Amino acid sequence: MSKAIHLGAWFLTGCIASSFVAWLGAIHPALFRVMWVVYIVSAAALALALLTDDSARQFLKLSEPDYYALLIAIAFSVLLGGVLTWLIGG
Amino acid sequence: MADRWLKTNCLLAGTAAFWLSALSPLPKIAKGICYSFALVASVQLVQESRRLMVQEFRRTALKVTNDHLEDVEIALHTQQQAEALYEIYGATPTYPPEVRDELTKSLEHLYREESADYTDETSTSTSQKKSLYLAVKSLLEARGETYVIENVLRLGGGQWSKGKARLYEILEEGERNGW
Repeated sequence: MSKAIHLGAWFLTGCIASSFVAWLGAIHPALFRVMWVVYIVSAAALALALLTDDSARQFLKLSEPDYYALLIAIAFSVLLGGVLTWLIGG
Repeated sequence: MADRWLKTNCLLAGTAAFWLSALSPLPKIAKGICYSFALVASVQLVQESRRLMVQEFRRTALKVTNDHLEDVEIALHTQQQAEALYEIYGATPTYPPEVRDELTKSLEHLYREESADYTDETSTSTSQKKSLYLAVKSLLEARGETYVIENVLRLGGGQWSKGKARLYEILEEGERNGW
């Protein structure tokens, strides 16, 4: 139970951070470019992590399903935060 | 200090509430405040839930260790009791040797006694023999010899002569004792 709350807390943190970045991009045109840079960099990092999964997995000491679940959760939280801010929060 | 579970749940609820209020249509300054509070609360929530995990793990480990210790204690206690009982009853005999020999002898005597071979006359008591004699005598007068041998002594058929001898034995014994 506490582990579920811990993982959920990490997920919620990712959502809020992504949402915050999206909101910052929405309030000023200068920050809009920064927002895209942040999103592109995180997307590139995720793609890199997906491509180098075996070596990164050894570094993080996770099993293969856990590693992919982690990647999927990060991608989903970033997407959820950004899309929610874009659709209802902007 | 508040319970750690309560703290974690409050932080979770606060984080969700701040995030949702930041998403709702508010002025920009309020949204900024809500976002910063939500971020702070979520970081606090991560730390607190990690502490909660560690605490639960520690509690489980402690419980397992305590259970194991308890089992070991019970096993030691049982072993000590068994040793004490063995010291009392096991190696040294409870009775002195002469008493023990006597008891063994009497036990052997008891189970070697051939009580099954004894006839009815010796095993039955005098009063039983007397009542049998009286019953046989009255039945002889009333129903006759055949009835007594077949139904009282149960020696009819092929054992007729044996039954007759037994009947005369009973009658003779009764007359001799004057019942």
